Amino acid sequence: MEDTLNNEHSAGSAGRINFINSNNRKGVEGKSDYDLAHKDIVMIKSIEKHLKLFDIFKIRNTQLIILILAGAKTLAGEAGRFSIEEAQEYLSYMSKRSRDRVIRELQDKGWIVFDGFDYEVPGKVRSFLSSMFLSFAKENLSIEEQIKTTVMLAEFADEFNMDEEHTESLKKMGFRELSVWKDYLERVIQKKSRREILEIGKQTQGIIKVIKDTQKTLNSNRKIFTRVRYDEFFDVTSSILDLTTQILSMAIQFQRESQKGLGEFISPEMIEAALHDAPKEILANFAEKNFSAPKQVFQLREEIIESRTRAFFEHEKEEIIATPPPEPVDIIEEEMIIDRMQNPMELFYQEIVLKMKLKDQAPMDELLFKDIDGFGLAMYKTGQLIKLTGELRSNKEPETTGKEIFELEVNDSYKKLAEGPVEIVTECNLRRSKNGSN
Amino acid sequence: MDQINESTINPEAQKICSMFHYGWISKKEIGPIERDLKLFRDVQTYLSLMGYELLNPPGTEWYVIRLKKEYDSASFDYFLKRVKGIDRRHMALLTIIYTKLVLPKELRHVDPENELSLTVDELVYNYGAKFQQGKQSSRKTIETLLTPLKKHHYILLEKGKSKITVGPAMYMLNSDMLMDICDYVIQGLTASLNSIEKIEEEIADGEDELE
Repeated sequence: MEDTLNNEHSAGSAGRINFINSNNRKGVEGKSDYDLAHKDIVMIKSIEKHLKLFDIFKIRNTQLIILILAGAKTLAGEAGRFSIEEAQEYLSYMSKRSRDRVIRELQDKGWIVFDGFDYEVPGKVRSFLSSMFLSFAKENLSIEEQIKTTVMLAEFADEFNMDEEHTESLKKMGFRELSVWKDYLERVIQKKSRREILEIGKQTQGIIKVIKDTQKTLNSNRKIFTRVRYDEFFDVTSSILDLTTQILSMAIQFQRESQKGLGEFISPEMIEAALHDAPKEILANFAEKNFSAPKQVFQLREEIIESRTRAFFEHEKEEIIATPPPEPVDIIEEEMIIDRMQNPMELFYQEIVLKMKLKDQAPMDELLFKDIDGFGLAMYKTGQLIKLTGELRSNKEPETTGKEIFELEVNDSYKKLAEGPVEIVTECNLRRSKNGSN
Repeated sequence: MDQINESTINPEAQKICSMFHYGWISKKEIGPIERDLKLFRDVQTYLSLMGYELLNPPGTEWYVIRLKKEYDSASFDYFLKRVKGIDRRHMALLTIIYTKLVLPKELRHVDPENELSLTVDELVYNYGAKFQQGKQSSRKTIETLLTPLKKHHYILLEKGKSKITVGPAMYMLNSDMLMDICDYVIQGLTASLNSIEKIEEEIADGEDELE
């Protein structure tokens, strides 16, 4: 059981290591895991001889640890080679008592070493200090800066003159961190947290720049990463790019109403770049779409109204057909009558006037369907009857005086018709209006 | 509608409205009407009844009216029909000038009270290539394109000088312009991400044509 677990654990390692692992586990039961040949243990072992440096962290008094680290930082930062007297001078900001203690601890634990003439802070301590501060400073860095340090670390790991396995493993840690970023960005998108999205939105340009620069460097110097690492790096950074732009567009959606806020996401450089690359056709579209004619009062012409109505009802493309001027014609009275007669409303009215000649009141159906002459039926079938009768009823305006006026009385009941194709109609009576008879 | 009956019409506001016949009024001419909120509101209301928006662009010397977008479709086509000598190239240049002189204020990249300007040289140098046509020099082309823009008050450009500033008609462009351009910038950003290609094939000596 243990073997399986162990094998699974080091699945990525060479078979040789697995073999040794199993042997160790079987043969030396109970012996410290210190002897395991796991590559990480091996790697850490390689710095074992330096562990004395960490002894300062064993001191119980945390305030003293702080003072020691501060002392180390001061000396690493300001002193090159120095004598103890000079060290005292550099650390003169502390009390004499602390100063002595700090210098003693630094000496004991190997943070400063004596080379026979002078003291100095060894290179490993300097870089340890700087990477330590860098690592913890990350907490306060922007995402952009954090990604930058990670990428840089991966990029420069080669410079450290370590064996390949070490370098690779450092880079791998860097990648792990990048994919943690990727997951974080994904979560932000899922959560749709307004605050985080706006915050990242502001950093988008920086993030994009860092990643793009690194990708460029990688493309131009392919020795930095092995093939597999290169692919991995490209994939993870591309996803980060993708996610950050997604976040940017979300941020912009949030800020749509505030133009001032929008300005925080879109920099003058971005605008300039876009403007520079944009083809003039696209630029023209913006002004054209948002065009408003200057110094000219825009009026809706009849053709426009017509075209819009058509576009609306018939889903046709708006197209303005200019109305041609009417042809000059002599106006003949007869033609006017024909014109009036062609109006269905007028036709209907005339028909009713004709049929009501000697009557004061008559049922509508009788008027329409008696002596089937086609007229009423046509009216009925085309559905105009309702409209026309409605109009007829409302036709009580003063200008109609002089004409004969009829009133409609519609009952809420049906009437069966004995003959003709129409079987049932609503009962409706037409009555000559008193107004009309006046 | 009811509140606008004969008795309540503010004659001062009415008079100001009539001054908008040409699209804008100089602030020098009528003073800061926004200080009198009632008057400003009245002018706004009367204009809006006619479908106009009243604009008070900061850092300029005009009040400008603009037909509301819903009443102003296809206006470029109508304008084109009536006005000779303006075409889509002018519109492209107009977009560039808007982006350089109005957008930074709207996005608060600069203080809106500032007056931004642009020289003909800058236009020629940065965007001249876009408008290059045949053998004509791009300076000549840009200058020719600027003339009608000046004529229609989109830009101010003093004769013999090369400093371009925004004219009142520029503010008549619909405010969607801002978002349209911003959207385009974002799109461009997304698209340019693909400009760095992952190298799929192993290249023997690590040479790369990108650099």
